[in-house]
Amino acid sequence: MNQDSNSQPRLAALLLAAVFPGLGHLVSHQVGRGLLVMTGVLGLFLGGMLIGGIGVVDSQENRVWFIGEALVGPLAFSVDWAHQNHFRAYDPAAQGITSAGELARMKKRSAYPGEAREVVSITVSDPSPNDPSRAVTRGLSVPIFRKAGPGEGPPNRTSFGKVNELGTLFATIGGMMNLIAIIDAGFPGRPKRQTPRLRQVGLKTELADAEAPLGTPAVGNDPLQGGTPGVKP
Amino acid sequence: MSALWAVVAYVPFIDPLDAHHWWYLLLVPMAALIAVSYKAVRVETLRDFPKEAAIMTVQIVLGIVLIGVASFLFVEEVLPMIAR
Repeated sequence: MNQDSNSQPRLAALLLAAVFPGLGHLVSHQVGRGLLVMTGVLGLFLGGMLIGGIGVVDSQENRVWFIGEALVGPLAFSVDWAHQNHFRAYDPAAQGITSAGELARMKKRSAYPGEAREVVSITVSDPSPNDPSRAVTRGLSVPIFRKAGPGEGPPNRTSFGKVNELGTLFATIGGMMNLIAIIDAGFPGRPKRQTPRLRQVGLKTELADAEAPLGTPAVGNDPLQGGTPGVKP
Repeated sequence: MSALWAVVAYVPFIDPLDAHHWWYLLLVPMAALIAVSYKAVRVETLRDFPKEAAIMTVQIVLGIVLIGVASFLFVEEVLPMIAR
């Protein structure tokens, strides 16, 4: 490939790499690299969820770790959305709340053992923004935890200890590795690290890369690649 | 039966693995996946990829083991010597 066209920033690849791991390399016709990036990053992120459960992706309780996980892209935000809206809920005390402001101050939490999640309707009454002397009453659907009945259980079990730490670490490192892949997909100009290869030229042995000008593909009359010794390419 | 199922069922990606006794073994796949994603963008040709990824996996695992041993010696040997 042409070195000049290689060194140009690729905006589309950069954006697609941020959308889904490996996609930036795939659209740059680097299918092998794209699939390997996808395997590595998704393996780390989904491996973290496999180890620690969905609780390792939590923008509310583990915000600092979530910043790293968010680098995986929309997948991390989708998992967090599902976690916040389908697994976490309010304490049972939320049923007695009569004000939306009071509800907003409450935080959702994960389920304790022996609890079940249920969506209940509550009625809240708050001063009207236009006329504070008048109250506006409305109904809200609120997820709460309650004591589980027979055959019921919490929507998920919360991980703790080393399992939670390792799961969170997996998912966060997945995001950080994806950042490297995003940069590589968008700014491919920098040279890859190459282990110096020895090439035998006649009776001399020299570094193959030492005499090749920058940008020259590593092909030619290389005895290690089937060329004739003693004949320079 | 359903109540028992609700308690013991493991749903992948939702519930945590019961890995409290062998969690340290999971450092090996973690190191391997880090090496795969890093070397995928780092090697010049993918022909070198398997070897480079395997070497990096071993390096990461050995590095973690060495840091663990060093931390153990520091906490168990050095700190008591300082405290004496």
